[in-house]
Amino acid sequence: MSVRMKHVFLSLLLFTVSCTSGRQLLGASDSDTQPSNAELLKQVQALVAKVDQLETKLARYEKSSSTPPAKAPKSTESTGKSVASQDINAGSSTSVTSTVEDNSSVKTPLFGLGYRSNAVLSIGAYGELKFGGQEAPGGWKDGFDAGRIVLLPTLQVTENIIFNAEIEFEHGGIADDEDDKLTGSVDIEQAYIDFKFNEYFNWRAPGVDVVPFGFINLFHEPTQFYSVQRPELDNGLIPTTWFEGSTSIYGKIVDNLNYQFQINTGLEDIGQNGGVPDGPYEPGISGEEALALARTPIGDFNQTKNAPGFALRLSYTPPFLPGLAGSTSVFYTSNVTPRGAHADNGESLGHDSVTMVDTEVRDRIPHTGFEFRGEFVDAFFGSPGNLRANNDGDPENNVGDHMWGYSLEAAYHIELANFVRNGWEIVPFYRYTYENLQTGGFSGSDANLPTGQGKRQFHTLGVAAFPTPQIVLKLDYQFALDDAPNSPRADHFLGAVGFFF
Amino acid sequence: MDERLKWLTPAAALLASVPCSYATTYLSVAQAQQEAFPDADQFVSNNILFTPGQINAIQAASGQKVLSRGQQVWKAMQRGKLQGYFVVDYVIGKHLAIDYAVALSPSGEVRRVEILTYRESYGGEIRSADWRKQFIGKTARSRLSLNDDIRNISGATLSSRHVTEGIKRVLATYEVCLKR
Repeated sequence: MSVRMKHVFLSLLLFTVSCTSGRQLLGASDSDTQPSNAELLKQVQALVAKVDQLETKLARYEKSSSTPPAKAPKSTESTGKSVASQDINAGSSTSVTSTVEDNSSVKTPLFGLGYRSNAVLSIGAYGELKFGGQEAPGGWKDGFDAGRIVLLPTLQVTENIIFNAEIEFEHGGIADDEDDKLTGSVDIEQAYIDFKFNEYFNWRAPGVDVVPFGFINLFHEPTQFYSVQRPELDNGLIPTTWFEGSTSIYGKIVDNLNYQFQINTGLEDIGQNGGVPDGPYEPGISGEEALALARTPIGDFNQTKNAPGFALRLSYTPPFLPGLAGSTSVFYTSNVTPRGAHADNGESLGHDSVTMVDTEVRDRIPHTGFEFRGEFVDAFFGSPGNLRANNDGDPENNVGDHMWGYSLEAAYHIELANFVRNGWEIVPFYRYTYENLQTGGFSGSDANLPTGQGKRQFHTLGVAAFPTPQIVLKLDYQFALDDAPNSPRADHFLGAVGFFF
Repeated sequence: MDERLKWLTPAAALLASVPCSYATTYLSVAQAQQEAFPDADQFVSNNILFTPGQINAIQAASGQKVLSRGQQVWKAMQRGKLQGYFVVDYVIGKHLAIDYAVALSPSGEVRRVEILTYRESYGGEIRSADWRKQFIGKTARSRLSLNDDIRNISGATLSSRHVTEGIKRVLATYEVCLKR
């Protein structure tokens, strides 16, 4: 090659190399660009690692997957030690082993994805939609109420940790504009995390939870009771749904006896927002509303007093009385009087304690359709003279030294499975409730002139139909009476559609 | 401040003294097998992968939907002779799974029911021996109806109902897949 040709060749070579380098420097993604050896080696190594991973997965799958029964018996594995005759002769104890690891045994592909409780947020729901008529001055008032729709998110976070919540939309919701006509509420009724240690001891971390008192306050889904409205004792004497900022421990004491002990924000004797004002304010506890307005708020640190509340519930299913379940509950707080509480005459109100007891039983007589329920509840006030209702200038809403009530219910379950293809259950029921919200023992600055409205009786008669256990259709009539002259309480004739998934 | 510490100290002591075990699993499969068949010397894996025909037959016989692809079964053997079947199954309580086991005699009668793992916060009363005892002797021909031949536990209604339905399905599975 002549020198000139060499120069041309070299120039061309240099040009080609510089062009290639230039493209690389500029980051050109040219499909003609060849990867370097180092890059190729990296890719191969990555592929090898991937193949290893897949092989391991396949081996695990093959090990844990089922063996079809059609195969010869020899192929069904038994990796456990079988007792050979010489072992028996040696007098050793018979050994029993399972073929599958404990943890993996219930997570095989047999059960499919539907089984995976872990890391799957499930959302249940319950709700009540009501319609009908209620007595009102001047006649009956007919109407409809989208009572509540409640979402129940549940997540099993780990084997030991469970998250539960209840998000409730009441009476159709809320709206800001005055012409929206929505007067409901959105509540967080439950939001807590459970740490499960063992069957005797579990811890519910601080959160929002229902107070363990009675039965309906804990089990308040519409399929758990037969009347359209919740039982009368739970409309004030027990302020269902009674939920508070709280923490609990719970578990089993012995077989058939369980406990839950809760520390909560207690009750407060103020029935309005924003703390105690300088002027008049609504009582939380009164001879009209009982304890319905006494629940403490769960938001913004807005509770008006420091003293916590304590609740202990023991639930039992005595084996010697098959079909019977019941509970006994106690609640105590050393003080319900809010900061700055005062009487109408300006004098400040001192502390007042509240102690509540409840016993309830539910008996489903085995092999019959009969069911009976009974409940008794009593709320004692340590210093009724310090209750706002006894010092607010209103002589008719006063409270004595305690308020109490009881109810008795009989129901009969009619199974229609023999007559109707998709087995319905129809449950006629009758419930009698008595409440006395204005007993003796009054003290305070008010004149004491109860009208008798605080001594109430309710006769509730109706029927609940269950097309499936998850859906209930209800109809009931309630006769409401009290001791006030010329003002019988409002009767109602209501229906409801309820569901619980 | 001292007032509050007074409340915290016993609580802390209580928490410190609690053994941290795996709370929701009460019995392992091996333990449950041993309790159900104390004389067995060998448990032979006999898992079933359902055919569509079997699924239909089980659903028809039990009235329950079959949600799994198969069933975990062991044969309990004593010196090569069949003592019975040990079946592991699960149902959903309220929202979370309840793992349980049913021990069957060779002729398909319930010998024992064990709750292996109970995860939910409520409804654990079904773990009591008195409630589980009710299933002993039941077969695929039994009613297995809540508040009829099986007592309900109010407050644990969902768990009671679903486990009862599950056992009904397991008995139907025996009739369709295991019965000789």
